[in-house]
Amino acid sequence: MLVLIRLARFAPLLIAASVIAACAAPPLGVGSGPQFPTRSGHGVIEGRAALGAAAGRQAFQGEASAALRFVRNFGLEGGLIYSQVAQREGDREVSVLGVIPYLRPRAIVGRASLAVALSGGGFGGGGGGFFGGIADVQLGYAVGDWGAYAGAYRHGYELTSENSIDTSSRQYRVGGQYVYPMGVTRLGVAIEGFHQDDSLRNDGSTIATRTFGATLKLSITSPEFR
Amino acid sequence: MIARALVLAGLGACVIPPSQSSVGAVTTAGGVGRRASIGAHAAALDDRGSAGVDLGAGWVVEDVGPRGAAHGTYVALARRIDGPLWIGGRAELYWGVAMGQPRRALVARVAVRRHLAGVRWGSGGGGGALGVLGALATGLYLDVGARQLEAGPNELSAAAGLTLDLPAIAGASR
Repeated sequence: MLVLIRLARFAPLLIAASVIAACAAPPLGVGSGPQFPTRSGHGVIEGRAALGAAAGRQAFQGEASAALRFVRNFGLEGGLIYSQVAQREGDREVSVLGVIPYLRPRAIVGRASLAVALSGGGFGGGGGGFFGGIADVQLGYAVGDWGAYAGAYRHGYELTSENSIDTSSRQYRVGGQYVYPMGVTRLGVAIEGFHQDDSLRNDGSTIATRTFGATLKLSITSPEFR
Repeated sequence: MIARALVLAGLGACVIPPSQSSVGAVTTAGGVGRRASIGAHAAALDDRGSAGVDLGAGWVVEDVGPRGAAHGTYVALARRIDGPLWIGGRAELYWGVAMGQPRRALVARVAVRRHLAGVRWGSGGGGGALGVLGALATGLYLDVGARQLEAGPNELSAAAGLTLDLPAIAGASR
């Protein structure tokens, strides 16, 4: 518990980080799956990697997060996402990448949980500036090692400079996850289907897309610590 | 609360994730070339060398003769079979590719990984803190893969090389 209290002292730092950075590429979801990855009074560290595909699109995501469950019904995740997306239309291609820090409180009631992730901010100067943010909500239901979830986000980002970047996206997703115990660690495998409605502009080229796609997400969870 | 946030935001901090890097040679239908990768890997965080699974993600570059250098990202999953022997697979996506370069690839890997040492060390004081956690390990790998080329046919590839695992390092100073 002492470790949790010490780590909680860094929450303002995470809040500050979340406020100053949010980037262009729409992510493949945010945070962990339907199971909150630790028991009450404990914490874990997780790593996640994901690949997504849709018509003309490829996406990659790497993510690291820490999850702390303060009490039985409430936990908090804080993490950092690196995402990269390329969308092709004919012989044109728009590619964007992003780094998104986030905080994700989660309410847990029995087998169900509701997680909300928020990140956003902006900065302006004489020659340009940026503004971006994401709000993600996910409802999960888990029985033992199995879980299912449904989620959605709204994401936007605009960079005004010589080479402007402007992205606006909405995602709805449903998925299922199985967690394999692997000794002291756990491996999570999730398959997700999503509907993406977005507009990506980079370096003068814009592609608007409304499409269905699929994502494979893998996660690895550290042993719990108190 | 706001004052504390501002103070903490002024804290200098740096985190280097547990990493696995590799260098090797690759042979494809387009010729023989070089491959290198670096990524964050869970097994490199295991200071005892007892982990049975490894999940990693990172960056890969491949330079094959007239095709030029292609840059991509990968997701890798591996399982320990017995002792130092691991098998796994990786999926690779390449970005901003030119004609004839790989666009997507699936790779099966057999690796022998030798855990040389584990590190679990930390030191801190009023001015800051530094911590190191993870493994120092070396390995050999053999890859066999199938890939989709940009505006070209699919092809098979094979690669072999060396890996180096390094622990995570985290530091903070006022």
